Amino acid sequence: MLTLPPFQFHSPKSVAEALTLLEAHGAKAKLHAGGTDLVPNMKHRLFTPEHVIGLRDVAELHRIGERDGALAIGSMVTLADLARDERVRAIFPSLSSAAAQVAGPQLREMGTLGGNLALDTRCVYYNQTYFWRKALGYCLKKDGTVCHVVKGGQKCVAAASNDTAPVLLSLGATVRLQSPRGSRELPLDQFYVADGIRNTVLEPDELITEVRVLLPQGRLVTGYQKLRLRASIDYPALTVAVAAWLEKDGTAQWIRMVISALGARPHAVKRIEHLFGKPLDAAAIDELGQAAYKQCHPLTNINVDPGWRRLMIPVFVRRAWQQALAPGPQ
Amino acid sequence: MSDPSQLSRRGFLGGASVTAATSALLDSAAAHAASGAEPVSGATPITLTLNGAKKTLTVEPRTTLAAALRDSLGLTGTKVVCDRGACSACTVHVDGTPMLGCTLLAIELEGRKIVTIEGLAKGDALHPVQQAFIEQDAMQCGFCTPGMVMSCAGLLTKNKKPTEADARDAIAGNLCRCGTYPKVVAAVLQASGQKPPPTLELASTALAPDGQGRLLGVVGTSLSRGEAPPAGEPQAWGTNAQLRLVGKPTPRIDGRQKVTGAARYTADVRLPGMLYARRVVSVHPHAKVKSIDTSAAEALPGVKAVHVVERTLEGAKLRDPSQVKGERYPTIRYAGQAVAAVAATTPELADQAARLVKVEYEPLPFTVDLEEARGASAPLVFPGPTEQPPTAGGGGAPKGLPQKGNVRGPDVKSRGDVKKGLAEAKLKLSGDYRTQVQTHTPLEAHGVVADWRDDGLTVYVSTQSTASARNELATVFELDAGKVRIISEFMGGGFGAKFGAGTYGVLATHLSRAAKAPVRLVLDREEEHVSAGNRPATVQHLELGATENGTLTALSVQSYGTGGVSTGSGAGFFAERLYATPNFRSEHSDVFTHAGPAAAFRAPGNVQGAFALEQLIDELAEKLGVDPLELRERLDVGEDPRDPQREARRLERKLGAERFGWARRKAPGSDGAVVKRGVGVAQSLWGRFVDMDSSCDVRINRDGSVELLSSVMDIGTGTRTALALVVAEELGLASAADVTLRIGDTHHPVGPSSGGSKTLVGVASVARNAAADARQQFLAEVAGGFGVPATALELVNGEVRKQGEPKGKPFKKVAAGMKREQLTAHAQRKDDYGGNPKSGYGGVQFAEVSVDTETGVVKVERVVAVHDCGRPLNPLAVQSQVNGGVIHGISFALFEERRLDPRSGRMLNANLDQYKVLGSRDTPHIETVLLEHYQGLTSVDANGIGEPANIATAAAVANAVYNAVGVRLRELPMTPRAVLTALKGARS
Repeated sequence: MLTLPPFQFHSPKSVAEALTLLEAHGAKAKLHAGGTDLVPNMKHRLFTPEHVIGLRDVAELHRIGERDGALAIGSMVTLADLARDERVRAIFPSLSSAAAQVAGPQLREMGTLGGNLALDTRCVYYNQTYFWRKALGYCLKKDGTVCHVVKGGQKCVAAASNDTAPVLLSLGATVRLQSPRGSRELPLDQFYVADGIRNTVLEPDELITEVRVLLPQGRLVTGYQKLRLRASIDYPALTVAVAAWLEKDGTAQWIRMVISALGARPHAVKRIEHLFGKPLDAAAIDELGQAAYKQCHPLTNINVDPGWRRLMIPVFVRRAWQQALAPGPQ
Repeated sequence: MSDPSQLSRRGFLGGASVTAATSALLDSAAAHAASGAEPVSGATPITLTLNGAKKTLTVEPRTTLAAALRDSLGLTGTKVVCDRGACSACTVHVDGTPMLGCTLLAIELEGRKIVTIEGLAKGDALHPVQQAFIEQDAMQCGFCTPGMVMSCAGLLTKNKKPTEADARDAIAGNLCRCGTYPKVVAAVLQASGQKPPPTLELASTALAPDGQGRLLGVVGTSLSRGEAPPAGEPQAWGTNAQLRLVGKPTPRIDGRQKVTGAARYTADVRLPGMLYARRVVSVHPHAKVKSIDTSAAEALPGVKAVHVVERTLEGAKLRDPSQVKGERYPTIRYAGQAVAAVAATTPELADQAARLVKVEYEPLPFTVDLEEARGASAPLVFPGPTEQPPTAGGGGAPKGLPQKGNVRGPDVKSRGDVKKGLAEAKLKLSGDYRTQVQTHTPLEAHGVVADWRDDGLTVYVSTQSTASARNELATVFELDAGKVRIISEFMGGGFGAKFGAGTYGVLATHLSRAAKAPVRLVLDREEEHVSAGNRPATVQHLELGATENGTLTALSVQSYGTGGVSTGSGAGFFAERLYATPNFRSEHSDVFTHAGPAAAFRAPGNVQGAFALEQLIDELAEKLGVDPLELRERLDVGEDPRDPQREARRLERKLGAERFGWARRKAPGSDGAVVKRGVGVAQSLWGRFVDMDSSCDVRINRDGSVELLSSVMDIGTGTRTALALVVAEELGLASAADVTLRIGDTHHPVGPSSGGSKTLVGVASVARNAAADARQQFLAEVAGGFGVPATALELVNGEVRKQGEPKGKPFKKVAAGMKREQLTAHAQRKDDYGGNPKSGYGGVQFAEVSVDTETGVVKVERVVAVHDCGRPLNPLAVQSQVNGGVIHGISFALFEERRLDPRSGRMLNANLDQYKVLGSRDTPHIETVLLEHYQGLTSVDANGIGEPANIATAAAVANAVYNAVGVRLRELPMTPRAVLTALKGARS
């Protein structure tokens, strides 16, 4: 059994208490939501925080409900609860579907939405034991200076592997971040940055408290497709999240499409605005697939053939749209 | 660091010379303050409800729940396997919900309700899921079982009537290496009051023809009586239909221990004063060790011993050892090779100490690539020719083969003249096939607890072969075998990789001797993947010649492969033996690479060989315009028209085709859908190997209890239950549960190793013979009480009766009249009747796949596996093994592949999320048909099934993929990318 490095554990009962602890320990602390990513990473000495702040007992972070025309989801809502939630299932089926496809059932009962959004990026040269990484002279992301994926690479290309992030991006969600210094609400697309070492703008003393998704005013259709080798457990090799607001005549008022699990941050497919106001027919979907394909270039950051992952982009874009546009409940 | 005088402190070894000059005994008084120690954080008391009772325990914040349960509370039912949240073996309930103990911190559970596998039953009353697991035989080695049970119990609290899909989803995160998924799903259905669909068919329940002679042939088609058994052997049994217990699907007698977490595996052994060991392994794939400085590790308080490796057991050895004479440390030949080990009072300290050992290496050029390693300028793995002696249950390499560079061989097998045969052929076909390296990945990693005492060495070893582990340690430590005791009570999977005690076992023993305390050394998951064995890669070139009706005129197999620093990468004897051909030649060479050692792996060679040959035969059928099954009907013939193996396969093809619906097979590539369906078939062949080191005692005690004692261990196949059935049958006991099995311990008479599908070949008849002897002794003892001669008594249904009378007296009551406290009968293996003929067993497997032509994803939808294994003693357990063989085969065909980084020589996927073992959702429906197939060779005539069940699967899947898409995949694994590339190649 691998051992964990020593640390002190704190279990605040409120956000205020958590913020006090963050103020005191800041960069020397790690937040522990479900622990499903943090604990294995600590076993591998990817993190050796002096303090671990467990958020499980912070009741106010476990709420989920409608407020101010939005669905507000507390960051400590578990992925299993999110997947089971009737409202989410009815209004944002792609979110429900994404949450239901994370890892295996036990991890979904432990893992939380906040934890999933703040998930560390993954790489074949990074998610290894201390001994393994040491043998390779470490890497850019942790303790080293070279990238083993991109020769001479100066930017970490570890992959964003969270299922909920691309979906929430496609839904235009925002996140509320709180720190001892105050609170800020960010559109999720400003939360992620294209740097695998620190792939979010989250400061060491900051905490995700809530995710907000505006309730749709018209007909919202969504889809989520996840590519993985086995039908369970596996992290995604590619994810596609799509959302569109359809007019009565079936034309799309707007379209969002996010591709993830390839690079350090989810990629919102660009230059598709010309398809707004047009029917989402087979030709349009093909065009969306091609746009996504052209904009994404997966690397060998995980043990799944990057060429295949890229080839699958248009296929999965099409399947995501077929899922979104399929009649009846998804 | 070493002080040779300390060696005089070794224990009981009067005259033993000790090769280790580097063991150090470290008194805590002598140890000074540690440098580089991780600061220890405060231990904190927490209170939680554990299995219904309030419990306060003191934990460090860094203690995981699994560690607290296992190490602090001794609740070892919760297993740790992947150690990173990827396998769910450590599943417990937190407030009623299944969660993972390896990833939960104990400290975060203050005030919560935890239920572990030990707390699921209410007293003696098992949870319905546990009961159903036993009845469905939803377990094999049992190491994943506690986690599986907890996942399923969690499902039933939320869903009273789960569907099959719900059950698969509930265990979607639980990995099993033996292949229990189908039966776990069936158990969930049963536990929720639903009836699982039948998946086991016993091909015939016909009675044997009259007579006393031994049975010959296949029940239902060709059964006859041969000569009577030789003198001194019990009478021949009839068919299973004529027996009371043997041959009836029987829940395993140790099932309760497995479903309650009570079964104790090596990883669970906790001895008083036990120390934890950690290895220091090489970061380089090829290097000389220049120096090792252990002083900092020794100085760390809590460290009790450090030992430096002076010889390694695994892999090939130089034919001329003088080539490395004078070198203090073994050359490093793969990344991950052990250099030293430390023992300390806690795992954390052992970890820390291992990191303090400073090793200075002189790195050398290396190669981990099979093709590169064959080249003339490749870095050499060994500086000269090698041999691989047959140690620890492995057969070793053929002796004296030529070696050039890294290439050792070829090993040639030949009959007739292949060139001539090819020249005569009307049809010639050839093909090139590649198979990958597969790691065994047992859920219980290799490990030992070594306890060196003045009066002897006791080592708990996770081994398939207690006897060879004993011999290995006795040899290394120059001890009398009688002074070495090996215990392997339960073992969490081996599949061929656990035949000895290994270098890790030697290390632990050294440490125990030095520290004068028991030492636990269990490999971590990464070490397990890298250094504990694998199925070697192969590259095979096949050529065949055939007449216009398909008769083979020639077959040749040229192959090379790599087992890293080991030999053993051949393609087996599959092509040599399966189909009749007058002209055959195989040439095989091992190519050494700087990679971890290969080990026997479930039908070594034959799985790879079948993948190639069975595809080529499929191609031949297509060329001839003949159905592939029909072609096999023509080819699967021998000189003896009544060759029992071939006769069995003939029936297997027929029964399988009917059950599977082979007739609906369409022309290859004719499915017009995007997701195409296809079917394929392949055959299996495995040898019958007789292990003469098979013996046992059967005892009857005056209280009527019956025991069987043997050092054979139960690898998870149900050996305990099979032997209990045999003894209970012979003694007329009411059930198998009336026999107590004392096995897996070298204190008992020597038993065979559990491997090569030879366990029951070796020991089943011995159990019967000993029981028959015990029966005679018993009847002689008690006959007086009946007033008749012993020969007029019979043992039936747990009673002793006068022959012909309907009612007798209970066995236990009668036993109370025994004159002696205990009677013992011993039996040991003799040759099969009439010598040990070259014989074998096999089967035929049918697979249906779907291939998504957009993604390239292959899914196996259904498998029908038709097999023979002599007399099936417990069809329920045989079926479990068949499921396991099929699941292993699919996992090998589609997912598994050891990946080495060419730049560092390190394994890129040495963990359970990146090394893909098939999960519940990827597992097809599997149906098993079992034949009774008699060769009249022993008093029981049983054979193994583990290997035959694994041989045909990958080939059947490959043939089915071809049938679906019309394009052949000749390389494993059949990844989606490979499928798409092949499809694209076919289009252009």
